[in-house]
Amino acid sequence: MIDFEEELKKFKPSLEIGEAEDAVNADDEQDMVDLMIELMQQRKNL
Amino acid sequence: MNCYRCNAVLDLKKETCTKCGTDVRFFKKIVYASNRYYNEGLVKAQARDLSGARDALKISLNLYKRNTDARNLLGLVYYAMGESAEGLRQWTLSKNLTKGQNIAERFINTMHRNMRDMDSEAHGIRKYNQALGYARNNAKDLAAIQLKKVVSVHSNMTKAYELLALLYMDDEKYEQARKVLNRCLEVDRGNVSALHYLNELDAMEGHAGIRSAGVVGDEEREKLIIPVRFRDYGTYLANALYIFLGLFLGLAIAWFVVVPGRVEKELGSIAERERSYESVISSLQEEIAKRDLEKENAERESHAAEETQPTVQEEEPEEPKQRVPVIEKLTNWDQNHAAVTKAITALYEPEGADYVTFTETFFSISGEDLGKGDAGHYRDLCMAVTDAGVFTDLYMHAQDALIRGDYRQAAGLFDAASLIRPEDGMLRYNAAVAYEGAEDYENAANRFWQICVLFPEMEQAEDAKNHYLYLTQETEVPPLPEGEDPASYRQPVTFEMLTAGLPAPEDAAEDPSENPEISPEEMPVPEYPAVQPESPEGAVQPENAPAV
Repeated sequence: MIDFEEELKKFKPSLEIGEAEDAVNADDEQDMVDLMIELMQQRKNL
Repeated sequence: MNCYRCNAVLDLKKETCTKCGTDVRFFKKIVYASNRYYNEGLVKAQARDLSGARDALKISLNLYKRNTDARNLLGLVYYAMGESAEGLRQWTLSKNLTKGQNIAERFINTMHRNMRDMDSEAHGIRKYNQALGYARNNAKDLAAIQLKKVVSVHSNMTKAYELLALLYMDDEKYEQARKVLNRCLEVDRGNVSALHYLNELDAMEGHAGIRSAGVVGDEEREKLIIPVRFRDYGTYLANALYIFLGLFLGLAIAWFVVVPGRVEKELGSIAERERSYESVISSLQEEIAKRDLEKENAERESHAAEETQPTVQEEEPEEPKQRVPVIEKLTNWDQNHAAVTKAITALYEPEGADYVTFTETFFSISGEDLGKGDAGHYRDLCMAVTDAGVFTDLYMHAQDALIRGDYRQAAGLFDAASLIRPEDGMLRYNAAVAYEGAEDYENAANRFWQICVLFPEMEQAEDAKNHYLYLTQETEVPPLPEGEDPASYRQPVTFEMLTAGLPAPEDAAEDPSENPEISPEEMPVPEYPAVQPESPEGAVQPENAPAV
């Protein structure tokens, strides 16, 4: 049985077009390569 | 593939960078994994499983954020799902990460070039967010209305379908929910929420489904076997007979009980009117008899003095004047009653309010000439006209029409809105733009002229002037006709103003013939400048009408 309130919580507001291009900074996102570089750096320092 | 440290092109067969010597084994593995998820996303996108494609591409980018192809494709998938802003965000990120030849730049430029589509997308997203807010505040009906508008214009917005289906299911409108979910799945075949809700619907209707679908186990199959029996024609006849009997009884009750009551009521009102007319006629006949007597007396006296005859003759023309107020009042009553009925019908249309007819009809009603019943209805209509929610709905209809290119309808709706809010010049400006879009240059010129003479302080006044001069090929904008006050055309419409001349319900006259001697001079003048449009185009005109 579907619980309306619980399902409703899963819905998030959509990003508006005006906000889409504001200060988009790709470097803020961390991917696996960034993690790998960090790990290798730590190993080196050790 | 480029080295993550020095950005040199890597030799795929070697484990280190040929330029800086960095160990790139793990780096290459991560990039290959990212590419695998990209390929998976591509296949799913081609199969219209947009949700699946989105998830695969997000994993691809979590592994390697500089995977330009994956990011561009993700933007495209978001765009296809009706989330233009997210799509634009991904393309902007892609452009920042990969300078130079990048297809994302083309997508962004295409979006910016089609400003109308972009505005429409932005509008749809705003409405969706509004609907979500309504749903969270328990205004589910408003949310559903808003979402229906969104999906009618943005048929690829999967989130809107999901939320609308949820609202329908909460309201137990399962068939409608199913239709909406199926439309969602046409856009995005793998939409998880839609599939989940459909499964729930199937589960809820499970018993009925088993009975009708025939996909059952052995036990249920036995229950489904309909026992064979002969058709009982007698039962059919009996049923038919009962139905006809029921119809006959219903008609009989209507004929003998309901109709006489109505007929009697009608006859009563006709008789009352006859009596009122008779009293008017008899009073007029008395008046005529009185004047005949006076005439005779005057004639007798005037054998010697011929000057008295003109006095009698001068008095005669006064008779018709006394009839006019009564006849005019009766005519006004009938007209206003018809207008009130028409306005109510237009406002409460089942398919959606016909605001153009409603506003035209409403502003043609004269509040002083209304019977008791109609005065009450008119009061309700005044509340509707001054209600912010009604205006907002009308305005949104007008905006929608303008955005989808239905300029004729948009123009009518903006005209209707400007009747309700005459102080808002932007409504007339929007009407002008819409008329121009519909190639109705005469009305467009008229609205632009209204902006020039009534709203000279507006930011768009200069633009309106240029448009007017261009459309009419005149050299200057004609002023308002002499004696006309611009402020009177900008006066806000309030409930108090609309009901100012309205008699209080307990004071409303039942019948104008009770006071047949009301002269036109004694009738109160309405405060509201009743510049009522005879046509939807508006009544304000320059002295020299623009000829386009």
